[in-house]
Amino acid sequence: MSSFAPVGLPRLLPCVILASLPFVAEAHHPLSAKFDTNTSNTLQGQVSAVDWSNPHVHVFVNVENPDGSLTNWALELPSRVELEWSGWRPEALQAGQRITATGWPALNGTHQLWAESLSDSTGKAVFTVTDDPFSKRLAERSEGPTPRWPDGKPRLGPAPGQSGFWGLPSRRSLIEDGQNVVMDEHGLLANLDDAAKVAPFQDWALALYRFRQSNHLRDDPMFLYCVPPAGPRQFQQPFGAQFIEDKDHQRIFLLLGGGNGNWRLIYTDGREQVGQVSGNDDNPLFFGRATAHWEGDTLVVENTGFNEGFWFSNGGLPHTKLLKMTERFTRLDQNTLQYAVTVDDPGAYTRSWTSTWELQWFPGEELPEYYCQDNRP
Amino acid sequence: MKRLCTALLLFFAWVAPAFAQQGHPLTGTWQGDWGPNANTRHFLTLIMEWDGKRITGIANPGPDSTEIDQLTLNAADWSVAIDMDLKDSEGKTVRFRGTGKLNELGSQNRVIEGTWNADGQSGTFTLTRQSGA
Repeated sequence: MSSFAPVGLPRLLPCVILASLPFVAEAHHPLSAKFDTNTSNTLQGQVSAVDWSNPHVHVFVNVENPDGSLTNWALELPSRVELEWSGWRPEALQAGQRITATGWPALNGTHQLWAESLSDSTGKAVFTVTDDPFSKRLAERSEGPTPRWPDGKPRLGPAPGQSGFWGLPSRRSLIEDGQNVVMDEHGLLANLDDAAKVAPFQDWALALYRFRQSNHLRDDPMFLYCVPPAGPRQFQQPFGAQFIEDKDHQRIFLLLGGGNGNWRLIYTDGREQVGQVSGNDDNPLFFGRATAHWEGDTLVVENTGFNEGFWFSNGGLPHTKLLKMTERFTRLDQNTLQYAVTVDDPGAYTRSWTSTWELQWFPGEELPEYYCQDNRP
Repeated sequence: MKRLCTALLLFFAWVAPAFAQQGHPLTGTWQGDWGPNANTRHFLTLIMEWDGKRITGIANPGPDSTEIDQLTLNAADWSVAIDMDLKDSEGKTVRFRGTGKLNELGSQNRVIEGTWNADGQSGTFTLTRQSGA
């Protein structure tokens, strides 16, 4: 444990910004990819800056060394959105305040710590995420049937004069329906031996999936380079999605609360799967090309034309450009959206397979502002 | 101008991986060389494609282009076997049979390193996957 003296923030800020660059480039991994979760360290020091950003808030702290010199540590915390949902604002911690932090040190030996707990000089906890920032808001919702348009079709977005979005997915990684496999919110398997149960992989795809899993998903291009969470992954993110149904133009805008403010278009005007959104077979897209039709109360979206530049699911399941994806959206009632995706990718899987989960309606709120690039160079 | 070039190089070094391929590990453009020793090397470009059942591709696109006859990946140990005709620096066609190992699997710039033999000769080869390709 160390302690130290204050350092002028203006003098330090350029160093702080420079020092933070390597951290954000690896941000938002499974924690075990970046931090030694088997070791707990405690630091005491004086706050030099608070970077109130996504994907992670950072608190920079000057820690005094035994010889009197200072070392600036970067304490990494959950995202700004998560802290704000738990009621925190950046003003809760000011430069110059003394704090104590306990958490996991960086695996690479740099002066970074994942702060499991942070407390001020009075011992009061600051910047802690409540165990479940969603439960209170979900409990306050009113129940009701599926809202509908005048033509009888279910509304996938909010009714006029209202707001809301879909979030809190019940499944955070693709896994074939009917399989019982335990994984965390990043899609990291509790038991690597369960890998083959997740999906009907081809040999190379299973081997690559196992490699990514055993590597704690640290090569994930979404976290390394802010590549979009496209494919089914857009409905596995903690910050939700929103439908804007543009009936006049017979298309649906789908806005994402995670990633880097991505959006995609779903055409409902009966067009063919060609020549749209500038994508074609020679120009595959992150979000592919999507056309849709209604089957009863279910919106069926056919997707093709994906590039291979992204991971299409949390957990690192591979896909190829041969991927065709059928999504089925069914608003079961006012508060529940069922999402079922059938993956047909003969490049990576031995047969087509389906994964189904639900999302919850958060009424009265717009999508949170979350940009992967917030604290990137 | 030097500053501009440096800035552009840094920009593309950062941006290129964002568009890198995450599908089948061999798909893409690979560049490197082969030869009997460190002093005699022949430039080699392979463009590989995975169709869901087999890997196809061409070597050295251009006037000396040849098709890869057989290319296999064993995912159990990430070993690679390549069988194809190649033209050496003198334009002579040689039968190239190489075996290697795919390394740095999580990197956009994955590497295949191995050995080859052709027409009684042997040596090493190295191929590096090109970012953004």
